[in-house]
Amino acid sequence: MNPFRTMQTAGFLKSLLDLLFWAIILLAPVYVVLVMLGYQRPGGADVLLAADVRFEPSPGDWALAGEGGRAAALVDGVGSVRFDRLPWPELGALLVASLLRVLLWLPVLYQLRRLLGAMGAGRPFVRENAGRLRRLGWTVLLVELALTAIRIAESGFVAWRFQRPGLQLWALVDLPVAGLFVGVALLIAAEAFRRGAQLEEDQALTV
Amino acid sequence: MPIVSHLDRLLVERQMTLTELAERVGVTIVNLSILKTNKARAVRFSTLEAICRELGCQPGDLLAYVPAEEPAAGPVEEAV
Repeated sequence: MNPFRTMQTAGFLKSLLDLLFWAIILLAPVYVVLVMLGYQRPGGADVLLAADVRFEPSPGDWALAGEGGRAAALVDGVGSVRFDRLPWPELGALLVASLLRVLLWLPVLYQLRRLLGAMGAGRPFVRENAGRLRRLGWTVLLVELALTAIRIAESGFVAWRFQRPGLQLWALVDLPVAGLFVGVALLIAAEAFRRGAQLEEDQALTV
Repeated sequence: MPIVSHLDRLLVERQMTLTELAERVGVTIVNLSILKTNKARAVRFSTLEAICRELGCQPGDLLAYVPAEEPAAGPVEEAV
């Protein structure tokens, strides 16, 4: 493997992450202003807030036609609720949830940038990188759990506020299995880095 | 590290410099310095063989095991 190319790739990826990191920071206030102004306007908002919920129609409403023994009914589904108009308390709560869903990725991006910056600068198998990778793993795990909690709270709030006779809404409870696996994989990789750093130190102190 | 090196003493006894030994043995001065200052974590048999050959000694003359001192037992008096 060409180390120069690896360093270039790390530098390129870090530049992309830098761009994404600062775009989120700079665009988040713009998003808040656009949403708030949009919902104040009589004509309706351009940037709409949305939340996912589980829903169940009245029995028989969504029956699927079938021949012979194949008759079936759609019993429940996952839908995205978009809000055309919202009063202040609901608008504030949903805006905060929507903003948090994006801002919570900032700690992950920050840790990734630090790791890529250190890798681009020199040797990867050093104790500092093992520590950075471990912090990244824990950050991913905590962010995934926090995002899940926010999604559940948000869809629970929407289900509670907006269900009507004939259409039952529930909070969407969906465990982020893939995200949690990524976090655990990063922690395992951090342990491998720690051992690698230890071996490299041993190698350097072998005469 | 309970393994200590007597390379500095052997060099004085043989009236040889670290640079000279490094050239004869074929390792860098940095590596020999690591051994001399007891920072080495491992010594290759090939290096050990070359050092013993050039200094005319046995591995036991170069390395010694010194048990680490255990903390003293008994009550500790508070400093006034």
